[in-house]
Amino acid sequence: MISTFMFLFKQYWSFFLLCVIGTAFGIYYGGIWSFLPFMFLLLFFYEWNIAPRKERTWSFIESLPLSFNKRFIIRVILPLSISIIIIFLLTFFKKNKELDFLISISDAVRISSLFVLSSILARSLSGFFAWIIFTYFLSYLMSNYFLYEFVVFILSLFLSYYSLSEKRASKIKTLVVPVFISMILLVSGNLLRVKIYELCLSVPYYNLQITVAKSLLKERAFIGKDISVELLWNRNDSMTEPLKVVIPSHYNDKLLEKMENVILKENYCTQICHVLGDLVSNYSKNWNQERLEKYLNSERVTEQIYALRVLEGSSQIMYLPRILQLVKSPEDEVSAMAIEVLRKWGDIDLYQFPSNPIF
Amino acid sequence: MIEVNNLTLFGKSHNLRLDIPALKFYSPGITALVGHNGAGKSSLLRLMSGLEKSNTGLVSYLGKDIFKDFESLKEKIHLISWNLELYQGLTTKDHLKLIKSVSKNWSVEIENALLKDLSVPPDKRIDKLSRGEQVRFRLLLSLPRKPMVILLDEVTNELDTDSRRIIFKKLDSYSYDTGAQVVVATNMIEDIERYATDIILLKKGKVILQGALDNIKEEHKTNFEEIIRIYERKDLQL
Repeated sequence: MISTFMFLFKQYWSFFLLCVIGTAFGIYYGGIWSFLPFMFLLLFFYEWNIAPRKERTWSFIESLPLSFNKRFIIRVILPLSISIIIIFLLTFFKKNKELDFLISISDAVRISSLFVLSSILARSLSGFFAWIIFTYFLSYLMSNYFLYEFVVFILSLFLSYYSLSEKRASKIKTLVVPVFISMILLVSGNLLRVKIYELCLSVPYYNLQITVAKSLLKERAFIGKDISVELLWNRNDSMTEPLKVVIPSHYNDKLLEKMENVILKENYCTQICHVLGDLVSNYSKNWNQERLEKYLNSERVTEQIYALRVLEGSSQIMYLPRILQLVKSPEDEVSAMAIEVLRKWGDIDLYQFPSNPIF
Repeated sequence: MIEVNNLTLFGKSHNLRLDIPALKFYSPGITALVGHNGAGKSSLLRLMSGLEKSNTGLVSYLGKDIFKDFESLKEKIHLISWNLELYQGLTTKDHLKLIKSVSKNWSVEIENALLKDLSVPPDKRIDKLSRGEQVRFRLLLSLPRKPMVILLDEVTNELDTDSRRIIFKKLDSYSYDTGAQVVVATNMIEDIERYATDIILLKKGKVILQGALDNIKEEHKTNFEEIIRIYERKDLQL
């Protein structure tokens, strides 16, 4: 195999060099220069798989005493790997954008799979572009489904295998079974999405955990879709409107705790931390008081802010001594939030406690 | 031995390219596959090498379907054709080095004998080789791997007499030394008369004549060129 790679490298070294230089330019300069490596990559796929078919040079490799699997590695796995590396580097090091490993890797795998499949199916340059557009459109139709990138990757590999084998490979093993498995994966993935996300929260890789936590938060995964509203009347004043308390049909506190463990790991309360706090504050009936108190009493600013954010939704005064302490916190944000909470409670019941020395 | 049974092959525009009920190739010796352009010679050779699949029927080698068992049979059946190109920008040394490194049963004796007899340039770019040198080089890439079937698709037609003589003599001696089958698609009557032991005459995808060359010549008591004319006229009359 190594001798085959060296032979092909000798033939195609200029294209490898173009891809490397183009990628370096794309990463360094960004912007419109990012298109350069993509163009070189497309050229590379054309030269690797399509031109040899037209020039009939690939038949020399086909005639070598190499097994079909080795030839599959040369024609599919090798260009796929190169493409994944290039696209990953481009998307990961995109100028002025946040470094996101998971999104970069999934984009790289998906796009490279479509490129390699198109280069195997096409017989010409125009055919290559047509197949890219067509396969990209098909993958776009699946984009709402969880794990669709994985399905695109599997189907691309198997379709390439079948096509390269000149239909000698078993249709059932290389087409029917992968399509069937992909459908099962898509359906079960979507049904078990929350469970899978929950499992991913336990994986000791922070980038994955935070991505999953964001997705769970976006879906409000720890609360049921159905909600009921309870009205809380003020015993002392029957003239004012009652407070509305939202009660979800289902509240998964364990999942919420796992999300909090991830989101509150940062050194400051990020936007996602505020969003979670805002959401949880709506469900005062379901709060885990013990944990809330733990966060409030914590020395970490992130947890203090989160707890205060949650307490903004409280319909009654809670943990007043601690909140009064936090008013004097050296952290401006903590102090401001503590004051905000007290102001809200000041509206609720002025007569229950003696006048507040702050006001 | 390669056998063809109930073979039909249709083209892209559904034209019948081959229609052969039965055909056998014998070894040792050189079988000449003769016919006009478009008779189906290249198509038949591609089917025999497993590169294409027939629409119906079977092309088999020792009972195995050549197309289906392509991976296991491709080391035994070699096709030399201008439709199968070498890398023009690389050298003879590059190609030979690669093949030697991946071949499990490369015969150094055959290689050395060929290097001596075929006078192949050891380190020359493929695009700088003459046609004759290219054909000889392709034999050098093939014979040391000890194939049992060698198929040549009109690669000798444009060569000079000396080049053709060297190539055919080498193929003939290889065939008798190893028992390999050699099938050469050619229209060079001189080569057929001199080197072929069997002939197959194709016309419009059908076999109109097949047999040992000596027997055919004795039966018709004339030279091979005349025999071809007789059969082609016979076919027209039919």
